Amino acid sequence: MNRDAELVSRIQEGDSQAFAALYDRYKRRLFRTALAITDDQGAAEEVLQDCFLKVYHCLPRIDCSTPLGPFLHRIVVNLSYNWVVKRRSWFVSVEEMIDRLVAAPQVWPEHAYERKELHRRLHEAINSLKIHHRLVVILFYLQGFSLTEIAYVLECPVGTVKSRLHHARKTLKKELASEGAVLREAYHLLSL
Amino acid sequence: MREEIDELDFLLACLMRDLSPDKDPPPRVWEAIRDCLDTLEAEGGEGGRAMGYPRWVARVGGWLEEGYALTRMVLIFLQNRLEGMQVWAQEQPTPASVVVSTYAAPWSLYSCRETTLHCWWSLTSVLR
Repeated sequence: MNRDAELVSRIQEGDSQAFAALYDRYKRRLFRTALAITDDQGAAEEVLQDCFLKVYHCLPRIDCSTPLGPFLHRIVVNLSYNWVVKRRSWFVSVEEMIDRLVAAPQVWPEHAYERKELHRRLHEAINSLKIHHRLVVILFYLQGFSLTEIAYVLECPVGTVKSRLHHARKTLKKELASEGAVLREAYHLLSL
Repeated sequence: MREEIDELDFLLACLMRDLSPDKDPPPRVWEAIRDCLDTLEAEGGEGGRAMGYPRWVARVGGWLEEGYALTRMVLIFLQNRLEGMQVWAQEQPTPASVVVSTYAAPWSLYSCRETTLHCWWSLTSVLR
């Protein structure tokens, strides 16, 4: 029995410690995804809380034979998506996001300006994506999910995921190409 | 082309890590979850177990939740047939909860999300 199945089984038997263990096991990844989608600390906390309350309610129906990660991400993505749509804050937060990245301290002094500029350009490009495309980009690049797993999380066919990822990358490439040789320059900077 | 895609992949992977730092959520999130669960368990009352009930009970509970209207009709029918002595059906005023119960319930009840089913088995034995 894998770790997830063992935890779910214990929770179903009424072991509250197991529920805490399940939270500990997934909180970091789920919080990161929620934060990436909502770009709001408070919202991400709220999403994480709601996610585990939903999990608690549907525990008896959880299939122990499949990994819990994609299942939990499906809940988090849905909650985060709803939050974004409701608040209409997706594009409003661009400036905040840029400021945060510009203020990031872990840059090499000799490349600080270039890196800040790079972040600004790339974030503008990512923020220009449609939300469905952005969700795929977050799950694929941030969480490293496979296309099949993303299809499960987003409840759509694998072909749709491929198409969204393709269009997202095409859009990003186009945006970056319009900025000249930024892509190659960025690759060089990040490789340092 | 392949090289450009690899560069883009690399960039995006780096950027996404910057975009959303890998950190633990604050402890208040778990505290809030714990509080909610404590409240739920307290609301479960003496006869209910908020968690740990068998899976088949949840399945039956879910089915009854969907078919609540039909179940209620059956209970009202039984109420009339048995002259109201042993069976009654009641809808609770709480909007989110639907409670169907019988006087004849000899054992404790199971809490299945919003629906509480009281003594389904007693009813079936009465029918026989």
